Amino acid sequence: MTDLLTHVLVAFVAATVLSWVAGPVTKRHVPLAMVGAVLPDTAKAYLLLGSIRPSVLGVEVSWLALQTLGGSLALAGVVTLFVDRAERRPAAALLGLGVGLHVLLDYLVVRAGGYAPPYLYPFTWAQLPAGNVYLSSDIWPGALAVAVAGVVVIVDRHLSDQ
Amino acid sequence: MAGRPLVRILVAGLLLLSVAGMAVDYAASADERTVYPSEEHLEEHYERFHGQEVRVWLVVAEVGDGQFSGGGWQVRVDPVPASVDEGDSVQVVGTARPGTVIEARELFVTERTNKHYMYAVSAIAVLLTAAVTLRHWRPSVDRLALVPRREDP
Repeated sequence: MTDLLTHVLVAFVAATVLSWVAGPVTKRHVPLAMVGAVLPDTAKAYLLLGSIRPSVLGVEVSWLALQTLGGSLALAGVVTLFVDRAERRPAAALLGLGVGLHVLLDYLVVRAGGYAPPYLYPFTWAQLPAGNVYLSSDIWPGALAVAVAGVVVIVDRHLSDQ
Repeated sequence: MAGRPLVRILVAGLLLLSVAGMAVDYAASADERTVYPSEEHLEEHYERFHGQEVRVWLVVAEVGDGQFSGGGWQVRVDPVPASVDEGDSVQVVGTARPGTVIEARELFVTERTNKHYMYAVSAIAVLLTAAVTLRHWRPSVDRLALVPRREDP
């Protein structure tokens, strides 16, 4: 993962730009992409709970399943079910966009050994080569995301005023 | 389906059940399916991996001459990179040797202060997402759903 702020801002930027060009996507759908971008990091609950592979009722489970495409899309499906019916289709699309962008950015993280985790699980266990662009804790991706998001906010306001 | 919250709750329950199934399968299968064994597996069966390449994450407790240690691991690397300090997080790939020793082939250092930064901005991200979402949506108990606050311009 990059820091969660980068994930959320990248989703914000992509969804806002989409709202400029895609009719069914409006401003109110932008935060749904941000929510989608948060979902894979529900796996980080283990940082608070202590174990990455706890035993529940005698069965071992892995929090890491939640950071995969399959786990996150299933969670996005749950969120979609609790969005107003008329909004459910764009909600599903934007939640999926947020999840997809999060996974994409995770492939760019520096990994010792050169392999990213199997983020495409359960569709495949394949471990694609890591992009090795930034460490999860690097500050510059977040700074860049803040700058780009700032520009997008200004342009969005300008377009709204027209 | 909108007028049938029980159906939605049932479908949501099935989706959450699928997530639980993935969590169980991932825990059971990842060690055989991934390039490097999990740290839990490594700690339990370290002797099986002697001579093989392994990957661990550790927090540096002590830095010495040609080695550093943390999290029960001793990492040999000569020279120890100047960026490795106590409290830093390090991901290491190297060859497993007897005595929880790893001869490092490649390592990346995350400074302690950067890790604190990551946690802080990630918490901000959660708050920002919640704030922006509630600006455009409100929870409706009657409809058991998030509904738009108003029409967008």
